[in-house]
Amino acid sequence: MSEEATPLGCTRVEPLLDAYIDGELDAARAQLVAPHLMTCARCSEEVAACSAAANALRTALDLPPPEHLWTLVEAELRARRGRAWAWRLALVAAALAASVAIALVLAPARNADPRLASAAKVALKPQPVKQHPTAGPPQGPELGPEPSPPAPPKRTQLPGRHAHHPRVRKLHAGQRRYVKPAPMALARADQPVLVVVSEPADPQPQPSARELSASYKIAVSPDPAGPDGLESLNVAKQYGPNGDLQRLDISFTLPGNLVASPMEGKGHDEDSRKGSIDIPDNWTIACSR
Amino acid sequence: MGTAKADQSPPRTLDTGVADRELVPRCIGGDEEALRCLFARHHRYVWLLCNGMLAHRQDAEDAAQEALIRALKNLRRFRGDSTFRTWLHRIAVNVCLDLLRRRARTPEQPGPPLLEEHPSRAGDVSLALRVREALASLPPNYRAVLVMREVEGFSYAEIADALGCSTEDVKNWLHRGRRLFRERYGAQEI
Repeated sequence: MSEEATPLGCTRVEPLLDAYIDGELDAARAQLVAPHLMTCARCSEEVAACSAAANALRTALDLPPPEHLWTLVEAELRARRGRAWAWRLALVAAALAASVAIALVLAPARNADPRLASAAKVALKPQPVKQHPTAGPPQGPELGPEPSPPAPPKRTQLPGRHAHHPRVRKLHAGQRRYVKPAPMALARADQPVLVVVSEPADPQPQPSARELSASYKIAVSPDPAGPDGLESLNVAKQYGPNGDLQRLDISFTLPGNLVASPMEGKGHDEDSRKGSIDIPDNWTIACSR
Repeated sequence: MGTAKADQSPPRTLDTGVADRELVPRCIGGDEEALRCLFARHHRYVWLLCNGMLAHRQDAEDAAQEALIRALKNLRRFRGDSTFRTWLHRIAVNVCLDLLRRRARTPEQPGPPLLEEHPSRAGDVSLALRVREALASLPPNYRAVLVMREVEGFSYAEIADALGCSTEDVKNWLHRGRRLFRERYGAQEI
Protein backbone atom coordinates (compact mmCIF):
# COMPACT_ATOMS: atom_id res chain seq x y z
CA MET A 1 0.00 0.00 0.00
CA SER A 2 1.48 3.32 -0.96
CA GLU A 3 -0.69 6.35 -0.32
CA GLU A 4 1.50 8.64 -2.35
CA ALA A 5 0.70 6.59 -5.44
CA THR A 6 -3.07 7.10 -5.10
CA PRO A 7 -5.13 10.23 -4.84
CA LEU A 8 -6.77 9.06 -1.59
CA GLY A 9 -5.34 7.30 1.43
CA CYS A 10 -6.92 4.34 3.25
CA THR A 11 -8.37 6.55 5.97
CA ARG A 12 -10.32 8.47 3.37
CA VAL A 13 -11.21 5.45 1.25
CA GLU A 14 -12.50 3.10 3.93
CA PRO A 15 -15.65 5.13 4.70
CA LEU A 16 -16.44 5.10 0.99
CA LEU A 17 -15.97 1.40 0.42
CA ASP A 18 -19.53 0.34 1.18
CA ALA A 19 -20.95 2.91 -1.16
CA TYR A 20 -18.35 1.97 -3.76
CA ILE A 21 -19.27 -1.70 -3.53
CA ASP A 22 -22.95 -0.92 -3.73
CA GLY A 23 -22.57 1.46 -6.65
CA GLU A 24 -23.93 4.33 -4.58
CA LEU A 25 -20.84 6.44 -4.93
CA ASP A 26 -20.93 9.29 -7.40
CA ALA A 27 -18.68 8.96 -10.43
CA ALA A 28 -16.12 11.52 -9.28
CA ARG A 29 -15.39 9.82 -6.00
CA ALA A 30 -15.62 6.35 -7.54
CA GLN A 31 -12.78 7.36 -9.86
CA LEU A 32 -10.72 8.27 -6.83
CA VAL A 33 -11.43 5.00 -4.99
CA ALA A 34 -10.71 2.65 -7.88
CA PRO A 35 -6.99 3.52 -8.23
CA HIS A 36 -6.54 3.10 -4.47
CA LEU A 37 -7.98 -0.38 -4.55
CA MET A 38 -5.60 -1.35 -7.30
CA THR A 39 -2.64 -0.50 -5.15
CA CYS A 40 -3.88 -1.06 -1.58
CA ALA A 41 -4.06 -4.73 -0.61
CA ARG A 42 -5.91 -4.11 2.66
CA CYS A 43 -8.72 -2.13 1.09
CA SER A 44 -9.00 -4.48 -1.86
CA GLU A 45 -9.24 -7.43 0.56
CA GLU A 46 -11.97 -5.59 2.40
CA VAL A 47 -13.91 -5.22 -0.82
CA ALA A 48 -13.37 -8.86 -1.68
CA ALA A 49 -14.54 -9.97 1.76
CA CYS A 50 -17.67 -7.90 1.41
CA SER A 51 -18.38 -9.38 -1.98
CA ALA A 52 -17.82 -12.89 -0.70
CA ALA A 53 -20.17 -12.30 2.21
CA ALA A 54 -22.78 -10.96 -0.16
CA ASN A 55 -22.39 -14.01 -2.36
CA ALA A 56 -22.78 -16.29 0.62
CA LEU A 57 -25.95 -14.46 1.61
CA ARG A 58 -27.39 -14.71 -1.86
CA THR A 59 -26.50 -18.37 -2.15
CA ALA A 60 -27.92 -19.27 1.22
CA LEU A 61 -31.08 -17.25 0.98
CA ASP A 62 -31.89 -17.59 -2.68
CA LEU A 63 -34.44 -20.29 -2.14
CA PRO A 64 -37.56 -20.67 -4.21
CA PRO A 65 -40.67 -19.55 -2.40
CA PRO A 66 -43.13 -22.23 -1.35
CA GLU A 67 -45.13 -23.41 -4.33
CA HIS A 68 -48.37 -23.29 -2.40
CA LEU A 69 -47.87 -19.68 -1.29
CA TRP A 70 -50.29 -18.34 -3.89
CA THR A 71 -52.86 -20.96 -2.97
CA LEU A 72 -52.59 -19.96 0.68
CA VAL A 73 -52.73 -16.26 -0.07
CA GLU A 74 -55.66 -16.61 -2.46
CA ALA A 75 -57.60 -18.79 -0.05
CA GLU A 76 -56.99 -16.41 2.83
CA LEU A 77 -57.93 -13.41 0.72
CA ARG A 78 -61.20 -15.08 -0.22
CA ALA A 79 -61.88 -16.04 3.38
CA ARG A 80 -61.17 -12.55 4.65
CA ARG A 81 -63.34 -11.09 1.92
CA GLY A 82 -66.14 -13.39 3.02
CA ARG A 83 -65.63 -12.40 6.64
CA ALA A 84 -65.64 -8.75 5.65
CA TRP A 85 -68.98 -9.24 3.90
CA ALA A 86 -70.31 -11.08 6.90
CA TRP A 87 -69.25 -8.19 9.10
CA ARG A 88 -70.85 -5.71 6.76
CA LEU A 89 -74.09 -7.67 6.77
CA ALA A 90 -73.98 -7.92 10.52
CA LEU A 91 -73.40 -4.18 10.80
CA VAL A 92 -76.29 -3.46 8.44
CA ALA A 93 -78.55 -5.77 10.42
CA ALA A 94 -77.47 -4.14 13.66
CA ALA A 95 -78.07 -0.69 12.22
CA LEU A 96 -81.54 -1.72 11.07
CA ALA A 97 -82.34 -3.19 14.45
CA ALA A 98 -81.11 -0.06 16.16
CA SER A 99 -83.22 2.08 13.83
CA VAL A 100 -86.32 0.05 14.59
CA ALA A 101 -85.62 0.21 18.30
CA ILE A 102 -85.13 3.97 18.16
CA ALA A 103 -88.30 4.36 16.15
CA LEU A 104 -90.24 2.29 18.67
CA VAL A 105 -88.84 4.33 21.53
CA LEU A 106 -89.56 7.63 19.86
CA ALA A 107 -92.99 6.71 18.51
CA PRO A 108 -94.87 7.03 21.83
CA ALA A 109 -93.25 10.36 22.43
CA ARG A 110 -94.39 11.60 19.05
CA ASN A 111 -97.88 10.37 19.77
CA ALA A 112 -97.92 12.12 23.08
CA ASP A 113 -100.59 14.45 21.81
CA PRO A 114 -103.18 14.40 24.60
CA ARG A 115 -106.04 13.97 22.17
CA LEU A 116 -104.37 10.96 20.61
CA ALA A 117 -103.47 9.57 23.99
CA SER A 118 -107.04 9.82 25.30
CA ALA A 119 -108.36 8.32 22.08
CA ALA A 120 -106.00 5.42 22.52
CA LYS A 121 -107.18 4.92 26.07
CA VAL A 122 -110.79 4.93 24.99
CA ALA A 123 -110.09 2.43 22.30
CA LEU A 124 -108.07 0.09 24.45
CA LYS A 125 -109.98 0.08 27.68
CA PRO A 126 -113.56 -0.83 28.41
CA GLN A 127 -115.44 2.31 28.87
CA PRO A 128 -116.05 3.12 32.48
CA VAL A 129 -119.51 3.85 33.60
CA LYS A 130 -118.52 6.99 35.33
CA GLN A 131 -118.40 10.21 33.55
CA HIS A 132 -115.52 10.37 31.15
CA PRO A 133 -113.24 13.32 31.67
CA THR A 134 -114.07 14.50 28.21
CA ALA A 135 -117.73 13.80 28.62
CA GLY A 136 -118.75 17.38 28.54
CA PRO A 137 -117.43 20.78 28.23
CA PRO A 138 -115.74 22.19 31.26
CA GLN A 139 -118.61 24.47 31.94
CA GLY A 140 -121.15 21.70 31.78
CA PRO A 141 -122.99 20.29 34.74
CA GLU A 142 -121.32 17.79 37.02
CA LEU A 143 -122.44 14.37 36.02
CA GLY A 144 -122.44 11.11 37.88
CA PRO A 145 -124.08 7.75 37.79
CA GLU A 146 -126.81 8.92 40.12
CA PRO A 147 -127.24 12.58 39.53
CA SER A 148 -129.78 14.30 41.58
CA PRO A 149 -132.44 15.67 39.36
CA PRO A 150 -133.26 19.20 40.06
CA ALA A 151 -136.91 18.56 39.71
CA PRO A 152 -139.13 15.81 41.10
CA PRO A 153 -138.67 12.66 39.06
CA LYS A 154 -141.04 12.31 36.30
CA ARG A 155 -141.16 8.96 34.68
CA THR A 156 -140.13 9.27 31.13
CA GLN A 157 -139.76 5.90 29.67
CA LEU A 158 -138.01 5.56 26.45
CA PRO A 159 -140.04 3.54 24.06
CA GLY A 160 -139.32 -0.10 23.61
CA ARG A 161 -138.40 -1.41 27.03
CA HIS A 162 -136.71 -4.43 25.71
CA ALA A 163 -135.88 -5.92 29.00
CA HIS A 164 -139.23 -7.57 28.67
CA HIS A 165 -138.91 -8.46 25.08
CA PRO A 166 -138.75 -12.24 24.78
CA ARG A 167 -135.81 -12.07 22.52
CA VAL A 168 -134.02 -9.75 24.85
CA ARG A 169 -134.79 -11.96 27.79
CA LYS A 170 -133.46 -14.86 25.87
CA LEU A 171 -130.32 -12.99 25.19
CA HIS A 172 -130.09 -12.05 28.82
CA ALA A 173 -130.44 -15.61 29.78
CA GLY A 174 -127.57 -16.56 27.55
CA GLN A 175 -124.19 -17.20 29.03
CA ARG A 176 -122.44 -14.83 26.74
CA ARG A 177 -120.94 -12.04 28.67
CA TYR A 178 -119.32 -10.18 25.91
CA VAL A 179 -120.11 -6.62 25.28
CA LYS A 180 -118.07 -4.55 22.97
CA PRO A 181 -116.75 -1.48 24.64
CA ALA A 182 -119.25 1.13 23.78
CA PRO A 183 -117.90 4.38 22.57
CA MET A 184 -118.66 7.03 25.02
CA ALA A 185 -121.43 8.85 23.32
CA LEU A 186 -121.55 12.33 24.45
CA ALA A 187 -123.87 14.89 23.27
CA ARG A 188 -124.87 18.28 24.17
CA ALA A 189 -125.57 21.60 22.68
CA ASP A 190 -128.77 20.77 20.90
CA GLN A 191 -127.39 18.28 18.49
CA PRO A 192 -129.30 15.11 17.71
CA VAL A 193 -127.88 11.94 19.13
CA LEU A 194 -128.33 8.59 17.52
CA VAL A 195 -127.94 5.57 19.70
CA VAL A 196 -127.83 2.33 17.81
CA VAL A 197 -128.25 -0.84 19.76
CA SER A 198 -127.73 -3.96 17.78
CA GLU A 199 -127.08 -7.62 18.17
CA PRO A 200 -123.55 -8.54 17.24
CA ALA A 201 -123.15 -10.17 13.90
CA ASP A 202 -120.92 -12.79 15.41
CA PRO A 203 -122.52 -14.03 18.57
CA GLN A 204 -119.52 -16.15 19.47
CA PRO A 205 -118.08 -15.13 22.80
CA GLN A 206 -114.65 -13.69 22.85
CA PRO A 207 -112.85 -14.99 25.90
CA SER A 208 -110.39 -12.19 25.90
CA ALA A 209 -113.21 -9.76 26.56
CA ARG A 210 -114.86 -11.58 29.40
CA GLU A 211 -113.77 -9.03 31.86
CA LEU A 212 -115.82 -6.42 30.15
CA SER A 213 -118.95 -5.26 31.83
CA ALA A 214 -122.09 -7.16 31.44
CA SER A 215 -124.65 -4.69 30.38
CA TYR A 216 -125.12 -1.15 29.43
CA LYS A 217 -127.71 1.46 29.73
CA ILE A 218 -128.25 4.56 27.86
CA ALA A 219 -128.64 7.24 30.41
CA VAL A 220 -129.46 10.77 29.87
CA SER A 221 -128.60 13.07 32.65
CA PRO A 222 -129.75 15.15 34.24
CA ASP A 223 -133.16 13.64 34.02
CA PRO A 224 -134.48 14.34 30.59
CA ALA A 225 -137.82 14.62 32.17
CA GLY A 226 -136.61 17.71 33.87
CA PRO A 227 -137.39 21.15 32.86
CA ASP A 228 -135.59 20.87 29.63
CA GLY A 229 -136.68 17.44 28.58
CA LEU A 230 -135.73 15.59 25.53
CA GLU A 231 -136.43 16.92 22.20
CA SER A 232 -137.37 15.05 19.10
CA LEU A 233 -137.17 11.62 20.61
CA ASN A 234 -137.51 8.93 17.98
CA VAL A 235 -137.18 5.20 18.26
CA ALA A 236 -136.88 2.84 15.33
CA LYS A 237 -136.88 -0.93 15.62
CA GLN A 238 -135.73 -3.52 13.17
CA TYR A 239 -136.89 -7.11 13.41
CA GLY A 240 -135.48 -10.18 11.84
CA PRO A 241 -137.37 -12.69 9.68
CA ASN A 242 -138.40 -14.67 12.71
CA GLY A 243 -139.65 -11.63 14.53
CA ASP A 244 -136.61 -11.12 16.74
CA LEU A 245 -135.53 -7.62 17.48
CA GLN A 246 -132.28 -7.02 15.74
CA ARG A 247 -131.69 -3.35 15.98
CA LEU A 248 -132.92 -0.45 17.93
CA ASP A 249 -132.25 3.07 16.86
CA ILE A 250 -132.89 5.79 19.32
CA SER A 251 -132.37 9.33 18.30
CA PHE A 252 -133.00 12.35 20.34
CA THR A 253 -131.83 15.85 20.77
CA LEU A 254 -130.55 16.99 24.09
CA PRO A 255 -131.05 20.40 25.45
CA GLY A 256 -128.01 22.48 25.99
CA ASN A 257 -127.13 21.32 29.46
CA LEU A 258 -127.70 17.63 29.05
CA VAL A 259 -125.25 14.93 28.27
CA ALA A 260 -125.96 11.43 27.10
CA SER A 261 -123.64 8.60 27.84
CA PRO A 262 -123.74 4.85 28.14
CA MET A 263 -123.94 3.82 31.72
CA GLU A 264 -123.13 0.58 33.33
CA GLY A 265 -125.61 -1.27 35.42
CA LYS A 266 -128.16 -3.96 35.17
CA GLY A 267 -131.12 -2.15 36.55
CA HIS A 268 -133.80 -1.85 34.00
CA ASP A 269 -136.79 -1.40 36.15
CA GLU A 270 -139.52 0.60 34.78
CA ASP A 271 -139.55 2.76 37.85
CA SER A 272 -136.15 4.13 37.21
CA ARG A 273 -136.05 7.77 37.73
CA LYS A 274 -134.18 8.19 34.56
CA GLY A 275 -135.15 7.24 31.17
CA SER A 276 -133.19 4.16 30.40
CA ILE A 277 -133.02 1.27 28.03
CA ASP A 278 -131.61 -1.98 29.16
CA ILE A 279 -129.19 -3.42 26.65
CA PRO A 280 -128.63 -7.16 26.37
CA ASP A 281 -125.24 -8.33 27.41
CA ASN A 282 -123.97 -9.14 24.02
CA TRP A 283 -125.39 -6.28 22.16
CA THR A 284 -123.40 -3.32 21.14
CA ILE A 285 -124.02 0.29 21.55
CA ALA A 286 -122.93 2.83 19.07
CA CYS A 287 -123.63 6.43 19.67
CA SER A 288 -123.01 9.15 17.28
CA ARG A 289 -123.91 12.67 16.81
CA MET B 1 -39.68 -19.85 -9.12
CA GLY B 2 -38.31 -23.30 -9.50
CA THR B 3 -40.76 -26.00 -10.48
CA ALA B 4 -44.05 -24.46 -9.49
CA LYS B 5 -47.12 -26.47 -10.28
CA ALA B 6 -49.30 -25.09 -13.01
CA ASP B 7 -52.42 -24.93 -10.85
CA GLN B 8 -50.68 -23.24 -7.96
CA SER B 9 -48.48 -20.68 -9.62
CA PRO B 10 -50.11 -17.44 -10.65
CA PRO B 11 -50.34 -16.66 -14.34
CA ARG B 12 -47.81 -14.40 -15.88
CA THR B 13 -49.85 -12.93 -18.69
CA LEU B 14 -49.56 -9.40 -17.34
CA ASP B 15 -46.13 -9.77 -15.84
CA THR B 16 -44.40 -7.67 -18.43
CA GLY B 17 -45.15 -4.32 -19.82
CA VAL B 18 -47.64 -3.20 -17.21
CA ALA B 19 -46.36 -1.07 -14.38
CA ASP B 20 -47.30 -1.75 -10.79
CA ARG B 21 -49.03 1.61 -10.58
CA GLU B 22 -51.36 0.50 -13.36
CA LEU B 23 -51.98 -2.89 -11.84
CA VAL B 24 -52.94 -1.57 -8.42
CA PRO B 25 -56.12 0.24 -9.51
CA ARG B 26 -57.10 -2.76 -11.58
CA CYS B 27 -56.71 -4.97 -8.54
CA ILE B 28 -58.82 -2.59 -6.50
CA GLY B 29 -61.43 -2.79 -9.24
CA GLY B 30 -61.59 -6.54 -8.84
CA ASP B 31 -59.29 -7.65 -11.65
CA GLU B 32 -58.07 -11.01 -10.38
CA GLU B 33 -55.57 -11.38 -13.18
CA ALA B 34 -53.90 -8.13 -12.17
CA LEU B 35 -53.87 -9.36 -8.58
CA ARG B 36 -52.16 -12.56 -9.56
CA CYS B 37 -49.69 -10.60 -11.64
CA LEU B 38 -48.75 -8.36 -8.73
CA PHE B 39 -48.30 -11.42 -6.59
CA ALA B 40 -46.18 -13.20 -9.21
CA ARG B 41 -44.01 -10.16 -9.60
CA HIS B 42 -43.23 -9.57 -5.95
CA HIS B 43 -43.85 -12.63 -3.87
CA ARG B 44 -40.37 -14.01 -4.36
CA TYR B 45 -38.74 -10.88 -2.95
CA VAL B 46 -41.08 -10.86 0.00
CA TRP B 47 -40.20 -14.46 0.62
CA LEU B 48 -36.45 -13.69 0.44
CA LEU B 49 -36.79 -10.85 2.90
CA CYS B 50 -38.83 -12.89 5.35
CA ASN B 51 -36.48 -15.80 4.99
CA GLY B 52 -33.48 -13.62 5.68
CA MET B 53 -34.99 -11.75 8.57
CA LEU B 54 -36.49 -14.74 10.33
CA ALA B 55 -34.06 -17.50 9.36
CA HIS B 56 -36.81 -20.01 9.96
CA ARG B 57 -38.56 -21.67 7.09
CA GLN B 58 -42.02 -22.02 8.58
CA ASP B 59 -41.95 -18.58 10.15
CA ALA B 60 -40.74 -17.11 6.88
CA GLU B 61 -43.57 -18.80 5.02
CA ASP B 62 -46.15 -17.54 7.49
CA ALA B 63 -44.72 -14.03 7.43
CA ALA B 64 -44.58 -13.90 3.64
CA GLN B 65 -48.15 -15.09 3.44
CA GLU B 66 -49.33 -12.56 5.97
CA ALA B 67 -47.40 -9.71 4.35
CA LEU B 68 -48.77 -10.50 0.90
CA ILE B 69 -52.29 -10.82 2.22
CA ARG B 70 -52.04 -7.53 4.09
CA ALA B 71 -50.69 -5.77 1.05
CA LEU B 72 -53.14 -7.19 -1.46
CA LYS B 73 -56.04 -6.62 0.88
CA ASN B 74 -55.06 -3.01 1.59
CA LEU B 75 -54.13 -1.88 -1.89
CA ARG B 76 -56.31 1.19 -1.45
CA ARG B 77 -53.78 2.48 1.06
CA PHE B 78 -51.03 2.47 -1.54
CA ARG B 79 -50.87 6.10 -2.56
CA GLY B 80 -47.95 5.86 -4.96
CA ASP B 81 -45.62 8.01 -2.84
CA SER B 82 -43.09 5.21 -3.13
CA THR B 83 -42.75 2.24 -5.42
CA PHE B 84 -45.04 -0.67 -4.88
CA ARG B 85 -42.03 -2.84 -4.10
CA THR B 86 -40.81 -0.66 -1.24
CA TRP B 87 -44.36 -0.28 0.07
CA LEU B 88 -44.74 -4.05 0.04
CA HIS B 89 -41.38 -4.52 1.74
CA ARG B 90 -42.32 -2.07 4.45
CA ILE B 91 -45.31 -4.26 5.22
CA ALA B 92 -43.15 -7.38 5.15
CA VAL B 93 -40.55 -5.86 7.47
CA ASN B 94 -43.27 -4.90 9.94
CA VAL B 95 -44.73 -8.39 9.81
CA CYS B 96 -41.30 -9.88 10.45
CA LEU B 97 -40.61 -7.48 13.31
CA ASP B 98 -43.94 -8.38 14.88
CA LEU B 99 -43.10 -12.03 14.57
CA LEU B 100 -39.65 -11.50 16.05
CA ARG B 101 -41.16 -9.68 19.00
CA ARG B 102 -43.58 -12.50 19.59
CA ARG B 103 -40.80 -14.99 19.25
CA ALA B 104 -38.71 -13.07 21.79
CA ARG B 105 -41.47 -13.56 24.34
CA THR B 106 -41.53 -17.31 23.80
CA PRO B 107 -38.74 -19.87 24.32
CA GLU B 108 -36.41 -20.22 21.39
CA GLN B 109 -37.43 -22.98 19.04
CA PRO B 110 -34.76 -24.27 16.68
CA GLY B 111 -35.96 -23.93 13.14
CA PRO B 112 -35.72 -26.63 10.51
CA PRO B 113 -32.94 -26.36 7.97
CA LEU B 114 -33.76 -23.92 5.25
CA LEU B 115 -32.86 -26.40 2.55
CA GLU B 116 -34.50 -29.46 3.99
CA GLU B 117 -36.96 -29.60 1.13
CA HIS B 118 -34.35 -29.19 -1.55
CA PRO B 119 -32.13 -32.25 -1.51
CA SER B 120 -30.58 -31.27 -4.81
CA ARG B 121 -28.89 -28.46 -2.93
CA ALA B 122 -27.99 -30.55 0.08
CA GLY B 123 -24.35 -29.58 -0.34
CA ASP B 124 -25.24 -26.02 0.50
CA VAL B 125 -26.93 -26.93 3.75
CA SER B 126 -23.94 -26.21 5.91
CA LEU B 127 -23.44 -22.87 4.20
CA ALA B 128 -27.10 -22.03 4.63
CA LEU B 129 -27.04 -23.00 8.28
CA ARG B 130 -24.02 -20.87 9.02
CA VAL B 131 -25.50 -17.93 7.14
CA ARG B 132 -28.78 -18.35 8.97
CA GLU B 133 -27.09 -18.47 12.35
CA ALA B 134 -24.94 -15.46 11.54
CA LEU B 135 -27.93 -13.50 10.30
CA ALA B 136 -30.06 -14.52 13.25
CA SER B 137 -27.46 -13.09 15.61
CA LEU B 138 -27.74 -9.63 14.08
CA PRO B 139 -30.20 -6.96 15.10
CA PRO B 140 -33.34 -7.02 12.92
CA ASN B 141 -32.57 -3.72 11.17
CA TYR B 142 -29.13 -5.02 10.18
CA ARG B 143 -30.72 -8.18 8.83
CA ALA B 144 -33.23 -6.18 6.85
CA VAL B 145 -30.68 -3.90 5.19
CA LEU B 146 -28.35 -6.78 4.45
CA VAL B 147 -31.03 -8.87 2.77
CA MET B 148 -32.52 -5.98 0.85
CA ARG B 149 -29.12 -4.80 -0.33
CA GLU B 150 -27.14 -8.00 -0.88
CA VAL B 151 -29.91 -10.37 -1.96
CA GLU B 152 -32.54 -8.16 -3.51
CA GLY B 153 -30.35 -5.34 -4.79
CA PHE B 154 -32.27 -2.45 -3.30
CA SER B 155 -30.69 0.97 -3.45
CA TYR B 156 -30.04 2.90 -0.26
CA ALA B 157 -32.98 5.15 -0.97
CA GLU B 158 -35.31 2.21 -1.50
CA ILE B 159 -34.15 0.57 1.71
CA ALA B 160 -34.63 3.83 3.57
CA ASP B 161 -38.09 4.13 2.09
CA ALA B 162 -39.01 0.59 3.02
CA LEU B 163 -37.69 0.90 6.55
CA GLY B 164 -38.86 4.44 7.12
CA CYS B 165 -35.43 5.74 7.98
CA SER B 166 -32.77 7.96 6.39
CA THR B 167 -30.18 6.87 3.89
CA GLU B 168 -27.53 7.71 6.46
CA ASP B 169 -29.10 5.18 8.79
CA VAL B 170 -29.06 2.66 5.96
CA LYS B 171 -25.37 3.30 5.33
CA ASN B 172 -24.49 2.92 8.98
CA TRP B 173 -26.58 -0.20 9.49
CA LEU B 174 -25.24 -1.74 6.33
CA HIS B 175 -21.64 -1.05 7.31
CA ARG B 176 -22.03 -2.46 10.81
CA GLY B 177 -24.14 -5.31 9.61
CA ARG B 178 -21.59 -6.39 7.07
CA ARG B 179 -18.82 -6.31 9.61
CA LEU B 180 -20.79 -8.22 12.22
CA PHE B 181 -21.98 -10.76 9.71
CA ARG B 182 -18.51 -11.45 8.48
CA GLU B 183 -17.23 -11.80 12.02
CA ARG B 184 -19.90 -14.29 12.96
CA TYR B 185 -20.03 -16.13 9.68
CA GLY B 186 -16.31 -16.64 9.77
CA ALA B 187 -13.91 -14.59 7.81
CA GLN B 188 -11.75 -17.61 7.07
CA GLU B 189 -14.61 -19.18 5.16
CA ILE B 190 -15.00 -16.28 2.82
